[in-house]
Amino acid sequence: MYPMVTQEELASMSPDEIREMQKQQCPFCHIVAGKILARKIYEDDKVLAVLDINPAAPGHILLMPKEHYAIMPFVPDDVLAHLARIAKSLSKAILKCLLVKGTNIFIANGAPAGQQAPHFLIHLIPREDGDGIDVFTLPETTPGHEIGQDLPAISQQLYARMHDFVAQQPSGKTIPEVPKPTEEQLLQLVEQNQQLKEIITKQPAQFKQLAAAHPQLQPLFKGVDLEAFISKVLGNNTKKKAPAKEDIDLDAVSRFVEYVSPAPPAKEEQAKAEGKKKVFSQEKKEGKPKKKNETLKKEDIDLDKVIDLLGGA
Amino acid sequence: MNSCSFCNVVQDEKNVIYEDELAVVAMLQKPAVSGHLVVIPKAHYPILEEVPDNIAEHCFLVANRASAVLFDAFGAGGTNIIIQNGLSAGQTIPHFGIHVLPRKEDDGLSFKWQPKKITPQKIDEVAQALKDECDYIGQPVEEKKQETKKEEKNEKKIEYSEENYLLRQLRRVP
Repeated sequence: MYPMVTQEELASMSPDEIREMQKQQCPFCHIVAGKILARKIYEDDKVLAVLDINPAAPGHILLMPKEHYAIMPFVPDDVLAHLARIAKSLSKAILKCLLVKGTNIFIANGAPAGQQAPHFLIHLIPREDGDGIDVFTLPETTPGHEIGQDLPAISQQLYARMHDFVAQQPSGKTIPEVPKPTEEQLLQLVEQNQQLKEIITKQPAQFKQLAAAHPQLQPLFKGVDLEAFISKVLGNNTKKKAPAKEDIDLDAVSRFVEYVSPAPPAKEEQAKAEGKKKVFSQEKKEGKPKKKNETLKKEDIDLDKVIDLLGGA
Repeated sequence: MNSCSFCNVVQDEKNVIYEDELAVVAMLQKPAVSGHLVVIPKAHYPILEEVPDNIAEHCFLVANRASAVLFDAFGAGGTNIIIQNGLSAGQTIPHFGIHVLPRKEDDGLSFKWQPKKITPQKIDEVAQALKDECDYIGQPVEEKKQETKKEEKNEKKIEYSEENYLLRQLRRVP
C-alpha cells in the first residue's frame, strides 16, 4: 500500500515531512476526505465515526479525529475532549439501538499495543454475553508483573505533567503549590543552562515575552523583576556568543521533543525519585528549565551535556 | 468500608499516584502488567453513559497524560486504553474506570480480536439504526426542552378552555 521509502530517506526527513507523508498515505485520512468509501455513522467538523470493515461485532465503530494524529499523545486536548464526549454518545447509541449489554472502548497506541493504522482511532465494540470476544477481559496478574518499583517515578512525572494542565483549569486547586525558587537558584539555573543564558544576554526583549507566556518558564519567573534579573545575568556573563535563531515555535517543538526524546529525563527523574511531593518540587525547579533546553534543541546544542549539567545541580 | 473497590481506592489513597478534584489515577493491586494504571472519577458512576460529560472528558485527558508518562517512565513501546462498559464487556468493578496499560513487544498481552463475517444486510441494518440514533448527538437536550414546553402549552390551553367553559356556564345561568 505504501510506496517504498528507504531508511536513508526516512532518516533525512524532518518530523513534519514524515507526518505529511503519513497523512498522504493514511487510509483513514482518505476516508475523511471521501476518497475511500465507508459507512459513516456520525460526522461533525472535528471527528468522524464509521463502521469498521473488520468488525469484532456488528456495529463496531471507529471514531477518529479528522486531522491526522498518529497516536494519542499527539492529539490536542480540545480534540480529545470532543472525542470523549462523542465516544460517550456513540456508546449510548450502541446500547440503545443494538440492544447489547455492554461496550468496549479501546485505543491502541503504537505497534506493540496492536495499532495497525497510522491514524489515531477509538474503537467502540458492542458486547454481549458469550459473544466470544474475550480479549478485553484483563488478566489479574501476568506472572512477573507485580506492582512496580517505578511507582514514585511515574507518580511525580504524572504530577508534573498534570500541573500545567490543571493550572489552566478553573477548578484546579488541589495540586500542591510548588515552592518558588529563589533568585539565586534562578541565576544558578541560567548559568547552567546555556540556551536560556543565550536568550537572556542576546535577546532580553524576547526573554521577557517568553518569561510571561511560555508555559514552562512562566511559573518560574512569576513575580521576578525581569529587568533586574537580566542585568544580573549580564553581570555574570562576559562571553559573547552567536545570536540565537528567532521565530521558533516553542510550543510545537516542545510538544515534539517531549514525546520523541523522553528517555533522558525519565532516567534522571527515576534516579531522583524518593517521595511524591519532595521529588515533585525538585522536578519543578530542575525539570522545567531542562525542558526549556529541549525546546531549543533545533539550535544544534549538545543535549546530553546540558542534561549532565542539570543533573549536577 | 464501601462495597465498591474503586471507591475504596479513592478513599484509601494507598495506591493513588495522582489526584485532583474530579478524578484519581491509581495502580491496581493486581495489575495486568507492571505499570497498569486506572483513571477513576471520584464520584461513583457505574458506566460511561452515566458519567457527566465534563468528568468523562477530564478522565480522557488524564488518561492521555498517564499514557504519555508511561511512554516516558517505562520506555513503553505503546499503550492501550481500555474501557469496559458493562458486565458483558468484561467489567468487574461497578465503577467506571479507564485502564491505561503500558505495552512492550512480547509482553504476553494481546487485544486482537477475530474479525466477524457479517452479512451485508445486517451491516446495512446496523448502520442505518446507528446513523438514525446518532443524528441526535449534540442536540438531545434542546429537543427535550421543546417537548416539555409543548406539553406545558397544551396543559395551559386545556386550562383556558376549562375556564371558558366554566365562564360560559356561568353566563348561561340567568
